[in-house]
Amino acid sequence: MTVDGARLDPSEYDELRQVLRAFFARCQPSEPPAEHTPPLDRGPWLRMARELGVQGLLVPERWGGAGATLAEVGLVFEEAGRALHPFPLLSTIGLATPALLASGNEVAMKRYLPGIADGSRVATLAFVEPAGRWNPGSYDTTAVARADGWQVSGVKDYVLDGGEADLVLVVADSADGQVMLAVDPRQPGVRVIDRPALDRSRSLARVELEAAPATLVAGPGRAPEALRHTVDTALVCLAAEQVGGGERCLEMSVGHARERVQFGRPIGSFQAIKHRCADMLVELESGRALQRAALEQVLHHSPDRHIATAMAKSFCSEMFRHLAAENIQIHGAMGFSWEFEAHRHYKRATAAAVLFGSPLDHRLRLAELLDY
Amino acid sequence: MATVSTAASDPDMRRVVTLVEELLREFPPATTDTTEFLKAQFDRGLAWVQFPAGRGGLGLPRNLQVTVQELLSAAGAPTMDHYLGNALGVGMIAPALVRHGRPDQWDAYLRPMFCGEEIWCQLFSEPAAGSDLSALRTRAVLDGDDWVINGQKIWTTAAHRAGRGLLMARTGDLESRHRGLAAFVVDMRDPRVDVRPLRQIDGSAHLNEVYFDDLRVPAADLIGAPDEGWQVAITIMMNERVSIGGGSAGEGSQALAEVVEVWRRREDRDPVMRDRLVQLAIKTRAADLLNRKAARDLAVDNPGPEGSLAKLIYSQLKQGVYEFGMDALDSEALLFGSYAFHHPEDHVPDGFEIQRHYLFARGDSIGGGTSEVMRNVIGERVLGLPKEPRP
Repeated sequence: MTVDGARLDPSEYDELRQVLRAFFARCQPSEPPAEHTPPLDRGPWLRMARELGVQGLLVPERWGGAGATLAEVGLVFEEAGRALHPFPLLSTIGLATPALLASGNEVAMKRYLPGIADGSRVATLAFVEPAGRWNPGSYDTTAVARADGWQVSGVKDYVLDGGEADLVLVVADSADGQVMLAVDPRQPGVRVIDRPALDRSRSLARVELEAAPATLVAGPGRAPEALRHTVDTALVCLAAEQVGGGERCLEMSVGHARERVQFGRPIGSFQAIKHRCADMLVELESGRALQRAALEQVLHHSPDRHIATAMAKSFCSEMFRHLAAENIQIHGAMGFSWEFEAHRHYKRATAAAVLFGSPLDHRLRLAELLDY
Repeated sequence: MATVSTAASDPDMRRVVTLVEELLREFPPATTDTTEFLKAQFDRGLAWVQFPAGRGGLGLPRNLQVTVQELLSAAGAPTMDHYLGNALGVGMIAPALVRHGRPDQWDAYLRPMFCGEEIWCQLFSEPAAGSDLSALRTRAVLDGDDWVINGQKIWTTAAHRAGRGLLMARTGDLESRHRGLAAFVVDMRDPRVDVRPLRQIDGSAHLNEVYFDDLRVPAADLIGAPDEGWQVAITIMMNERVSIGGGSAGEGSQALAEVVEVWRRREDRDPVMRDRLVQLAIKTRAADLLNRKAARDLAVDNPGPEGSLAKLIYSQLKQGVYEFGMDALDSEALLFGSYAFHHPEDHVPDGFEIQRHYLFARGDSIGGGTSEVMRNVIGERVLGLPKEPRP
């Protein structure tokens, strides 16, 4: 099925969900990667673009996309999260696409968005530096405008899917203020170093820039707000992924608790397990409610959107990590085993909690925003 | 954040909105007596839109009531604050009367209940039947055209000011458990009904003991069949767990606002305390969103077990919020006004409200089904986990 133009009718969500679920189920890695995050399998990535139009959901139709909304994208992340997807989705459609759209730069959009939509271009946003501060601020990476174009120098770290990216959007400070630049990682002056990621389902890289040639995407008048908006969008996407992951962990726990018999009865009939599952549902549904509300607020550019995204990310991070931990516990020794799925959710949850700012980071910001 | 727009194209929604606008125009809340307003609301079918026409409703989906509450609340009309005096009746007993009772019973009871002329109480729990309601022992024996009731109820909210009660009594033998129960409407002013106050943790008497000594109840006051009591109780308990207050700020927000005020009076900004407050604000937002969703998702008149989720969340949340409030009060938390006997409706705020709410919040995870029972309901009816085998 394809999504064309604007927001889907909620009655069509179920169909989209089924299609996505079936697709992601086929893309499950058979073996948990031990040494490094495996390279992206471009085949399924291209099929995802061509058959489902996932990468082009947010891309306007004139640039080869579906012109859909964050609501549909949220659904993609929920399903991707359930399936422990191995794709550069968060980087390409959670960060780079909203950043390009928020830049308002028609030339850049025309140049990069069609390739994102058709699956030929993996893109990411490099804003965090070795200090690991996720909340947008000022950066040590500097950009200089020269007669023959921009040059950017500095070090970006924890760059999502930096090793796979065909396009790296770099946030840097210039003499006139913050700018966002497009960098081709194959150009001289760019060094991309893979980082050993705790969560092997998502690759991280360090990007070293030494007078690397760059193209301006957003100037000082636009870049800070574009970055803020991009981060809000990415927070909603990641929270949706956490909801999907949490949902899967609860599903696995409940399934096991129904089947596993000890002391002559299914362990789910013991209140010690049953009540644990009930509490997991309470957390999951609370997280889902916060994530959906944040999505609506970002979608409608509501004045409280920064509060809503920070609440969603803070809560969903802890929710997913807790549910992934409970899932291991309820499965007993099997939950702790390398061959079993549970530890991969736990690692995903652990990393996702840190990504784009820890729960505490967001709560510290909330304390200011709520004037507590 | 009120969004009525989602279904603005829906003709039912348009009809409800028009009726509310007419009601507000003809009976401006600012200048209309509360009872008169509520009678007019009932007569326009805006009391419970899901009820039959002429019986306080319009035969429309129940979730439209949320819209009604939102619009009335925005116009300053009497809504939740009024119902709180009769929340059991309006929120829980009325849906059970409509589902299990007869039209003549609807006509006799619904209007006086809705406009507050007749307060209702729910006579369920007994000394030996708390979480396990099916163990109740109060007897109902048919004698001619009357049922004769003998027994004792306990933990009965509002019995001291109720005109009517919905009584659960045993018509079968004790071994029949939930199958041998019946629901009756009883006249609480009958001299054969003895109501004695029970004091709670803060000295107030929200709850009562109720004794029945050969109370005669006309057969016409039986709700449904003589063995239908358990179904009536389920309907009531499912409704109990769903707040009808989708339009109000939400229980959680109110509690949070109280402690935020205390926090802002403090001179320091202790980072640990501050983070606790932010965590509570996040949970409050989640609880209010979920409660709103539960209210919107209601089918015509049979709320599902999802209400148990909201009940469980709110009780934990309120306890956490008031614990924070006490910690924020610091040394002031050593003080308390008066533990003197009083009925809740006579309570005059005395500047120790955080302390009082903190103490009283312990009851939130007990009354209306303990958190443990809620977790059983969620585990078994939402998640489909197997029941505990009976010994």
